Amino acid sequence: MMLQPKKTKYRKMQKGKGRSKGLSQRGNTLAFGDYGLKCTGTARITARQIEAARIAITRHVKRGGRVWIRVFPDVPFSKKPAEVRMGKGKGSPEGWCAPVKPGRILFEMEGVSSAMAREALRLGAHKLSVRTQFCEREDTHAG
Amino acid sequence: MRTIELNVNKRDNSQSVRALRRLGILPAVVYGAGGANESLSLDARDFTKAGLSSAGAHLIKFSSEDRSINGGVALIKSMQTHPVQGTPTHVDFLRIDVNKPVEASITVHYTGKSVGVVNGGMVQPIRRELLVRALPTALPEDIEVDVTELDIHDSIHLQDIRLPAGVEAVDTENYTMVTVIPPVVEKAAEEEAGAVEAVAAEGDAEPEDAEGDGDKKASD
Repeated sequence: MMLQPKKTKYRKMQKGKGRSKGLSQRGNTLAFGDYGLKCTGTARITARQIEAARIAITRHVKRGGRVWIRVFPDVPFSKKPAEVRMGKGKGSPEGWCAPVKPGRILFEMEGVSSAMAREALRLGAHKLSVRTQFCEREDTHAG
Repeated sequence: MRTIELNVNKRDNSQSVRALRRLGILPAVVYGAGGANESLSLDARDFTKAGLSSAGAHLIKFSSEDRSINGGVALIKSMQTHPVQGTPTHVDFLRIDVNKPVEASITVHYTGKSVGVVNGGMVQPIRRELLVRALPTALPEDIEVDVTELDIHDSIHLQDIRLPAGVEAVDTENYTMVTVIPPVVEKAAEEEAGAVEAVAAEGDAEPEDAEGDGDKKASD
């Protein structure tokens, strides 16, 4: 199921220039798992992309292993219908997205080998609209 | 615990730290043990080569032309890193008295293949660091915890860990350090598999209806 807030105060939100500036000052270190997917660019990752990536990761590892999603799409984005002229107000809410900055950890994994985690996260990264890199805890524990 | 000698210099606070970083110099600060706060600079490559940017507690002995800093012993209190590259950008050193006990966060390593993992479970570390109190010379670099005996749903608590002589845990609460969780089966995948099976069963039972639906969809 796609991630989205249970309740919001307002239906629409502005894009906000501050959301796309600088580096990620929070959520930039591995907190739960031994392996992670870190984004190296700035983007708005939609709830659909997060869900597609999650499915790609979990399908590759099959049984065993655990996945954490470190971003939550709590920003609504709007869209105007096709063949509508500009103006006449903001479009209607289309979906939810998570604005991310370079350094943000998007997914974390544990309970699988390094090679499997790398491949699973590579497959997941293909579903995202941002450049990413694989990261690993230096002191990974034994099984 | 290893003692690492590190060349440091006093830093003029009017200098731009960004400019220093561009030159490969790592800005730092040292404080504690009743001494004055001193801004320092050191070679970033020396710091990384010495293995100080990775986890683990190390005793650091300063060597400097400045007499007030030279010979001082310190621990790394905190370290700021670059969000993307992970390289250190600033270090806080805590000056210590070698004869007085200090508190330090020590990395915990979980070793061995547990019974629970053989049975399909997964080792889930709850805490990867432990705050301990000991004399600086008695501080261990890391703490190893054997998880071989753990079955699914078993866990190791703080009081179960055997610490080296002269080392004691600071926290009095007996919290969980590591546990073995049962295999996580994704609900959606199960439901999906169940739905596919149900459709297949329906298809076997009433093939004519299925064809009829297909025609309807095509006409729509």
